Amino acid sequence: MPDLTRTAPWALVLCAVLAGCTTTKEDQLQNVARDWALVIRASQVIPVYPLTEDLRPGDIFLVETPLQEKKQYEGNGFLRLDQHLHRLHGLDFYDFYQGSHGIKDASVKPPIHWQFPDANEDADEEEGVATGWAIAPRAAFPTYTFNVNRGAGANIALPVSGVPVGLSLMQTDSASGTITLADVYTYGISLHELSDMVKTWAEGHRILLRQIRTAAGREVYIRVVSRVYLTGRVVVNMSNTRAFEAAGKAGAAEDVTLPPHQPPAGVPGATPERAVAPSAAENAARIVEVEKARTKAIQDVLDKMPGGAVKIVQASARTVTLNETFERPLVVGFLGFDFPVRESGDLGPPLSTRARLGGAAARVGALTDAQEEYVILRQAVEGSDVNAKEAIYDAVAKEIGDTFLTEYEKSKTAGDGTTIAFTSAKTGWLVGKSPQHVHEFELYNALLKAWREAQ
Amino acid sequence: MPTPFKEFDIPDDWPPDDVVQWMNATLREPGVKSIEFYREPGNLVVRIWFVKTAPAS
Repeated sequence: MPDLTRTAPWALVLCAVLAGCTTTKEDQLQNVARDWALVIRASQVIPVYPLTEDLRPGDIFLVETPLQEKKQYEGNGFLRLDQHLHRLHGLDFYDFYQGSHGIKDASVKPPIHWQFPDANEDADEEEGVATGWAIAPRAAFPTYTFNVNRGAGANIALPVSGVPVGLSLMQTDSASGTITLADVYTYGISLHELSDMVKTWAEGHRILLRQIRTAAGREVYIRVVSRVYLTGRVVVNMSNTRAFEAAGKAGAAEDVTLPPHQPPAGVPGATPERAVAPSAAENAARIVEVEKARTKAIQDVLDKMPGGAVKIVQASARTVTLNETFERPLVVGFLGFDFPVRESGDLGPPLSTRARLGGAAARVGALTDAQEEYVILRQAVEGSDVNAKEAIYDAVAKEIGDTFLTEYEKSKTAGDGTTIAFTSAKTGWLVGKSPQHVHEFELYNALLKAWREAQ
Repeated sequence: MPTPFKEFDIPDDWPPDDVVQWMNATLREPGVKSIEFYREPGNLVVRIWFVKTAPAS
C-alpha cells in the first residue's frame, strides 16, 4: 500500500473525487492510486505513485514476470518500485545534452545542480552559469478533465486534500474540472549508454543475479529507468455543474467558521438593520464579502495542512481554482527498459518497459518502440551516400554472419541494390526466430555500431 | 536481374505474436512493396515483393 501521507494532497484529492462512490476505505484508497495512474498513463508515461523526488535515470529495480506485473499494472494502474537494486552513477549527461541545460561539464550530475543550485555555487561563480529547474528540459502534459460527485469517495480525502474543499467553496455536490500539471520537466539518457553500463554492472553482480533468479524460480527482470518526468506545480480548476444550495458541510469545512447566512429582508430572523430591502449593489457587495471571507477561512485551513502549499487562486459559487507548488519538482512518471535475468545470471537484451506492459499480444500494423527506433536508424542509413551505405550494410552482414551474410551476399550478386539485399537478408534471417525482439535488438545494435563508425 | 520477390517457409511452431511482429516490421523495411501468405501442401509460405529497382552496376 502506498504511503499516502507523503503523497501530494492534490493528487489524493483528484484521485479521490475521480474514484467516486466506493464501498470500503481500502477500495477508495486503491482507486485513488489507480485513477491518478491512469491520468499519467494517458500520456504514454509509466506513472509513479506515490510521487517522489528520488527517482533518476540509471536507477535499477528488480521486477516480476510480465504476466504478474501486467496484472498489477492493469489492476492498480501503477507499478511498485520497491526493490531498488542499484543506482548507476557516472552517466554521461554532458555528452547527451551537449553542454546545454546548465550541464557545462562532465562533473555536473543532473538533477543535483537543478535541485540544489547552491551545491554548484563555486562552479557557477566561475562560469556564471545559472542553475535551478528553470533551465532544465521542459515537457508538457495534456490537461485532464474530470467529474466530481460528492460521496463517500470524495469525503475520505477531505482531511488531506484541497479539491473537495473546492466543492465546499462552491457549495455544490457536483462539479467538473480540469487538472493541469504545470512546470513539467524531463531529462534522461540514451538506451545505448545505459545498456553498456547496466551490462557492466550486471557482470560484476552475476552471482547476486543468479541467486535472485534461482530463488525466484521463474523469469525475473531488472528495470532501468532511462527518463523521468517531474512536475513543479499543479493547477486544479473546478466548475459547479449544479445549482445547489448546500445545507451541509464538507469534511474539513467543519473547522472553518464561515460568515453567518443572513436571511433576506422581511424574512423571520432577519436582523433589524436589514428590515429594509438592500439594494442590488448592496447585495452584490455582500456576496463578494461573504465569498472573500469563506475563501480566506478555507485558505487558512489549507495553510495548516501538512505537506501542502495549496493556494486558492480564485473561488466563487461557480468556479474554484487551486494552485499547489512543490518545494522542489516531484517525479510523476518515467520511461525505462527491462532486461531479462537468465539462469546463468547474465542479462538478455532490453525491451521497453511500456511495450512490455502493453501486452504480449502483438497487434497487426503496430510497431514496438524498439522497432520504431530501428526504422529511424534505417532511414538515416538510407540517407547516406551510396558508398557509406554499402559499407554500413556490409559491416552489419559480417557482424551478424550466419544466414544473414549468406543471403545478403547472394542478393547483391544477383544484382539487387544494397537496400534490397539488406532487407532481404534481414527479413529472411528473422523468419522463425522467437522472441523477435531479442534478434531485432541484436541487429539494431550492429546497425547502430556500423552507423557510428561510418560517421 | 534484380529479385522481384523472396519466399520463406513459416515454421508451424513460430508463435503467432512473433509472426505478427515480424510482418509489421517487414512491411516497414525499405524496398518492400507487399507481402503475401499462402499455404502449400505441408507448409505456410510468405512471399515478400520488392519494389522495382535498377540493376546494381
